[in-house]
Amino acid sequence: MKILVCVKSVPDRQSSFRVNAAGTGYEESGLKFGVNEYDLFAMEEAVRIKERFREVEITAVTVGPPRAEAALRKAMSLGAADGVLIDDSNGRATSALAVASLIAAWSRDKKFDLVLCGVLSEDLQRGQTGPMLAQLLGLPCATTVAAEKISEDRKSITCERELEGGMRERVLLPLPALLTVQSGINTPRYASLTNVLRVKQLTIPSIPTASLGEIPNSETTLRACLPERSAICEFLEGDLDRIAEQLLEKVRARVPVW
Amino acid sequence: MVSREILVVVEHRAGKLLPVSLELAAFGRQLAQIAGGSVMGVVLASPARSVAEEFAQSSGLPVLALENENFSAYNAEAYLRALARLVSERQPAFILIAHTAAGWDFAPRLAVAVSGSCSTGVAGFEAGVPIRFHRAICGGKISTEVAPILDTVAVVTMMPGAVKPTEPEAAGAVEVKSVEAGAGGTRALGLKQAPPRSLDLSRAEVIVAAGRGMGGPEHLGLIRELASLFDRGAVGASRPVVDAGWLPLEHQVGMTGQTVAPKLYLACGISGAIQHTMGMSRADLIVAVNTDPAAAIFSAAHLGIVQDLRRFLPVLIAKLRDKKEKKL
Repeated sequence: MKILVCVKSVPDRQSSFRVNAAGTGYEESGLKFGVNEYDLFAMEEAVRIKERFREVEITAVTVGPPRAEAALRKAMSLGAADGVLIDDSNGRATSALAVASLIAAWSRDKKFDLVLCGVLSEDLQRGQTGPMLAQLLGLPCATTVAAEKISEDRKSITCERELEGGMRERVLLPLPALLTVQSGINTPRYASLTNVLRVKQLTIPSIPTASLGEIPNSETTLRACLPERSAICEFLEGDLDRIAEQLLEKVRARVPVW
Repeated sequence: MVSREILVVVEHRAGKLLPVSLELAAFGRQLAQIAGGSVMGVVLASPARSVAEEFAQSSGLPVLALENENFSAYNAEAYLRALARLVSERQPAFILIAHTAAGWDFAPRLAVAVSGSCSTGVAGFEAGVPIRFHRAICGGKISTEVAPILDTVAVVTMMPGAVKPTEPEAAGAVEVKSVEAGAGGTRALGLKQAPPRSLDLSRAEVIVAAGRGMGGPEHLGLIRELASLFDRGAVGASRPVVDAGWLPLEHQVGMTGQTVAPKLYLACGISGAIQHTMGMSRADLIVAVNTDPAAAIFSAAHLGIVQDLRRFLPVLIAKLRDKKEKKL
């Protein structure tokens, strides 16, 4: 069985973001990048499937600039046998459809039995790449998967999708299929130091986007800006004691809850 | 030039219309005022008439109800086939879908199937040519305006709560049509109810909620202690805290957790992702404490405090305790 895990290199969520010079997104320089957290849940799920069935081979793929290699190395240190960088150094893959089309063009002839993605990326939060990739590859798809089980004959997969309010929806998909994995489906493990050191030595194949055909787009970002500070939020300042005092006075005046 | 239609995909579950459908209807109407064109609801259900009539009555929009046995529960493949055919027949300008578990499941695929553009999780729009949709990125720290690619159908998912429903003038007309909609091998196996919870946060008067910014489960004692100082106080949590196993699911506030409206909501170390704030924005007073002054939670809060919680909460607890003892 062959599993493809799609990963994305994203900035640390705690970062202070600035708008880029073009005014169309966030400025990448100065940010610390890591693997999209949702993709780590997808990666862990792939490793668990590998532990359940024998002869499972996991490949990780990413679309991004060369720095995204680090995300592949992370996936490889966690159990992916291979990592492939679709090198978008010129930043043409701006929309989800562009990213999905590149992965589809590269993976179409590789016959993956299961494709796993994170439910969305922490930075752009679109949640489109996974389902679009499924559609481009003609695969059935389930998003926000909170539990999955592959049948013994490996011909189908039963998923629990997370709905609003904690309810779940069960759905059966024939394999091959694509799932987008929700956080909390598992507890991702840490990579062993041996594996981290081992994958450091490996060369990661890089594929130029130009070799993968046309890059279609599904939307354009015309403007990015810092959100306007809410006019309603009043910031309390001073030393800790002063802040606590002010807070309790204001709370008491507006909602007498003690 | 005749303006093209705006289609609104009605969301329902177990035969009941979901409230977000009426928000979508209002969103469609607002969009039509700018972009022109008529707005029509689309119901995919089996049976479809009762949901379609309920929507036509409460939204005032005309409804096309598509019926197929594969619509008796949500089925992505069946939805896609029926909607893709509808798009090729009617060539609408926009298809509006709720940004919910069902909506984000089929919307991006539908966009690909009909070679349309796709914008997800939008919270509003800006008039103009092209129309620009507002959406937040980077956990709400950056706002963006995105535009569909011109001359294609634009598939758009709207954040629940983005638009207020409007009162209809008169019920819209309903047409029920039986359609083909194969599901391939995809089979809906039914719903699984949320596990029963012993904690009903909706009854709490004060919720002290912990986010990842608390630093670790060993610091949650401060949250519990503060919550315990109120007669009807309870401990809430953001999703990452529940995912990490610091607190059980029954504490989770937000889209996939509980929706609450206490008198006081104290968000401690919560970044303020829209999925969380949607679940608590109706609180009378929202106080946010976070070390990051750019955290999105401050856009949802009435009172903001930029401090380290592990230093601030002990001071607050001592002071509140003191006031209670002295009956201040």
